Amino acid sequence: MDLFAQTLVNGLLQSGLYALVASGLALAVGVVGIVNFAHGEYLMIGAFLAWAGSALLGVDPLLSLPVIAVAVYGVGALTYRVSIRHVLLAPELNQMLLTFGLGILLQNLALMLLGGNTRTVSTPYQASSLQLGELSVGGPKALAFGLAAALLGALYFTLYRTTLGRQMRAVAQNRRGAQLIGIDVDRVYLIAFSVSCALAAVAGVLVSVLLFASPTVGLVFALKAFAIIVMAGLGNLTGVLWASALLGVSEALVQTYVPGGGGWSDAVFFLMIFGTLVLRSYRGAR
Amino acid sequence: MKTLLMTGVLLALSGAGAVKVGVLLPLSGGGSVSGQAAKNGYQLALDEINRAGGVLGKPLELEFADDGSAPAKAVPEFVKLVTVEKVDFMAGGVSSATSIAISGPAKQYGTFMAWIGAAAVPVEDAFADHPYFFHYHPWSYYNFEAILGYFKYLKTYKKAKNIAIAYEDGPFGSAGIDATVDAFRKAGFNVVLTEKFKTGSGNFGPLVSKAKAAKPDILYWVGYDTDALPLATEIRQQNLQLGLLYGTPPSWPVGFEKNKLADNVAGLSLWLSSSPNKDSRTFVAAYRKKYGTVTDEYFAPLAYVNLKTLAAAINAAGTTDKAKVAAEMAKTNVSTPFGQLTFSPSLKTKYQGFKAGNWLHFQYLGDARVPVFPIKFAQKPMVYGK
Amino acid sequence: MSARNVEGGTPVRAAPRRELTLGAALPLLAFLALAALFPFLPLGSRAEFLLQIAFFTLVAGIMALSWDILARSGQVSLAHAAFYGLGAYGYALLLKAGLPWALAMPVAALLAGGASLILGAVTMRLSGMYFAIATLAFTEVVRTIIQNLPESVAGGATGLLVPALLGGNSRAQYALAWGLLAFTVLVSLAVRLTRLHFAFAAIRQGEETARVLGVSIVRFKLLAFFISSSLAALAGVLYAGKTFFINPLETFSLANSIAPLTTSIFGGLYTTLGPVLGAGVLRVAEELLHNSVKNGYLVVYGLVLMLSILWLPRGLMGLRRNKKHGGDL
Repeated sequence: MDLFAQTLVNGLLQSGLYALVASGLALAVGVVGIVNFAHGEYLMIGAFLAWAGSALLGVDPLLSLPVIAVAVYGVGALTYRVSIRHVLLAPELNQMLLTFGLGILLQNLALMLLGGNTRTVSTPYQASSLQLGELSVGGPKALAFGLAAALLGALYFTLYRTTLGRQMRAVAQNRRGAQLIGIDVDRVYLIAFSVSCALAAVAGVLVSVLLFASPTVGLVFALKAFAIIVMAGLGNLTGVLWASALLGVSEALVQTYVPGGGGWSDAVFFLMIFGTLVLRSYRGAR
Repeated sequence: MKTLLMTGVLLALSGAGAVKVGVLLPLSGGGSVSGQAAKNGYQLALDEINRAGGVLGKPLELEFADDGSAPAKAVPEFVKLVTVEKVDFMAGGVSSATSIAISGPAKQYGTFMAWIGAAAVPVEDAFADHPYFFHYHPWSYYNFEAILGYFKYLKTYKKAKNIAIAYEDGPFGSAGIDATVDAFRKAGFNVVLTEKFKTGSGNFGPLVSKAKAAKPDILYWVGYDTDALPLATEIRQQNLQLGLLYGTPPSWPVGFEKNKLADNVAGLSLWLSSSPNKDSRTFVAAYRKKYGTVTDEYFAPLAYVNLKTLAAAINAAGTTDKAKVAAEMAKTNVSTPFGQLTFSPSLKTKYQGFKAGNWLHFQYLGDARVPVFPIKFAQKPMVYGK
Repeated sequence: MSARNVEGGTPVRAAPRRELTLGAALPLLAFLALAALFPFLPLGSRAEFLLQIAFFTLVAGIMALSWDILARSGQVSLAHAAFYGLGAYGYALLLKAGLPWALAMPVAALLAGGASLILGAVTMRLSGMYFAIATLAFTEVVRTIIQNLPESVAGGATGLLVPALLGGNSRAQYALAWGLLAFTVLVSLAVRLTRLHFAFAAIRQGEETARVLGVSIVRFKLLAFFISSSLAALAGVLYAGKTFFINPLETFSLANSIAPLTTSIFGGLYTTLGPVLGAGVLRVAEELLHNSVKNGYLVVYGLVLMLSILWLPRGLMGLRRNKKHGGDL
């Protein structure tokens, strides 16, 4: 019984990480419709900035988090200005190629400047945990989970309760119509894209504390995050949390109770996504 | 006649008949950490060789190429070194998949290969019938032999009996895992858990929970540097009691030694920069002089030894004739940062350099990696948790 | 023309049906002829090396063009690595079972094609991002299954050794790769010049309308999948026979799904020449960069991809389209 409860906790904790990475992507892909293959690279930038702050300046990653978010917002805005902006009207496939090229560029720039080594930070709370009887709840992962929920909540609030949010949704629904009623479409896209980059960086800071920073750190998580937001349904922010939790817990169950389950957890993750998409397509309206 | 003249002129320009060694390394992509380390080692060796008079009376030339850690890139690069650059010898080689991919052209051209990496058994199969293949790195079964030796010691002196094995599900972790389990059992251990994990996922919660139920004395993990911290973190958080956490990643995370979670974590290396071995100290000093830093990647000294021994063999043979150089190489008997180097047959290849006895077991103790086994190399007593 | 339809407000670009005109076919023929003559060009000492590069370029060309055929039916797939890998594995296992290579190769392609029918049937109603992620998920599942099968079956995570294709003779290997690319080009032209073209284009531009027009969507979508995946499997066979070694991580990697996509976009979507030309130009560009920039050449490569899409939104074929020319093939 203890093992079962611990398994559920393990799964939920891992899902916090997934949801955190997915939150920024949900805004870019799900809400505004920019397919960003380079999302993981902004996570990587966040992770490296956190590492640099900690290793070179001695600043705790969580303290530098706001600064990093703002800095990467700037990087995102710059990216938007020089590239994304020019393919907004182009087919989705062109956006993919552009962001894919961007991803290669950023990843290899990091590789060139910093080398391929894995880097880790040291913080006093890294291995902190909450003990509830026999149960153990890892501190930083719980923090990631809370942060993911808070960010998704904030995104939801922004989108549905503020003028900027309404503008974003309007732009997403009908760009031309939004333009006609006087919305500064360019500005809305700029903000949405940059915020999504900043959110990726926030996830990156947490990843650097929990795991590591390396030029390829973004890849693993961005891929899963992509799958999660699509499984949740594009634009469905609350669904992201549910989908993450469902996937995280299923992975943990397989890993714990299936012999050699660690090798099958990825299959289960993607099989669930595949199944959900297919089932929904058959149930859905036509 | 005309071509002959042209060739003559070109030769004169390029330093007339200098011996050329091609070096194929993963300078980009997944294996680039080891590849770049090896490159530094080669350049250091090159400096020393040429300062000492070069090879066959001329300065030695190195031609580096990047295999991009991918077989599809490695094959053209290899062919380019052999047919375009017309190198006399090939050195380098880190990844197993790229090494297998070039085994075809290597046999076709009968290329002389002084190879530093590629420890997987399929590589041994691929080069089994190649007459000029010198392999420096121990094959993976030698690695395991070393590990088993250490664990047997722990069994005798620390009463370690139960082993839990966690391995990444890719080619690195999974190679020969069944044989590993069998060998542990045969040696009298209880293998209480054998579990796969996904490298880089940071998802060790379930694995550690299971391990807790299995109560192992040693947790032996086979993964990459990315897994070290997440695994150590999870073990601390779930309070898993271990005698020893022992891992064999190809490299360790930068800055891991400064982390409290790294304390007492043990691992395997062919070489440590803190090794008291005389050749190792000389190497470290020379390396620091040239690059201003100290490396902890064993591929740097391995590449260094590789080129030095190759150059010595060519000089001893007095020619670039492959058969004669191979005969001289086979006689190699020198002290190196890894211990004595000689070539002897392995299971399938003819010229195998380092073997099980060259591995060192270390432990993170007080912000540094310290050799703890074999006992004659130990600088501090090992810390066993039980 | 019946296929004239509306896609997000833009008029259909699919040109009206036309016969194979020399003007349109010339660049394609020239490209294939150049590729055929390549081993005989007087390239001096570089010949052997360039032949190796050219071999992998042909494989990339087959991958890109076969991906494009599927994309023409509106299915932007991220499962190309799955069929490439299934081709490679099918070939290796059939050889192990004792089949001669000349038989193992087409059988492996047909098996992969058969597997694609299952995927195609299940994902029939998905489109856009949903389709892309479903196909990506499929690839990951296939990879994990092969990786977790007992080592005696398919080599497990470690991988399989594959006997050298055509005894390792690089000229013969090149000729075979050329033949398979030429075959892929023929298939692509057949799709372009028959009524398949209109069926695919109609489905791509709006399934509703296609249905109204009486196009059997199920049949054509599956046909596109079958053709595309069998050809991708042939590319996988070439790779396996050339590098002697396959493992799940490499053969089924996401990069193998994304490369054909980017290559086709770079060259020019929904054409025959575009993806093939894209493969050639990108590989040459990569090689030149590799030799001139050395450290961090991939940074420049990424930049090239970005700039190309900013300046050439329709890929290399966009250069031609501006001129007064017949249809694109």
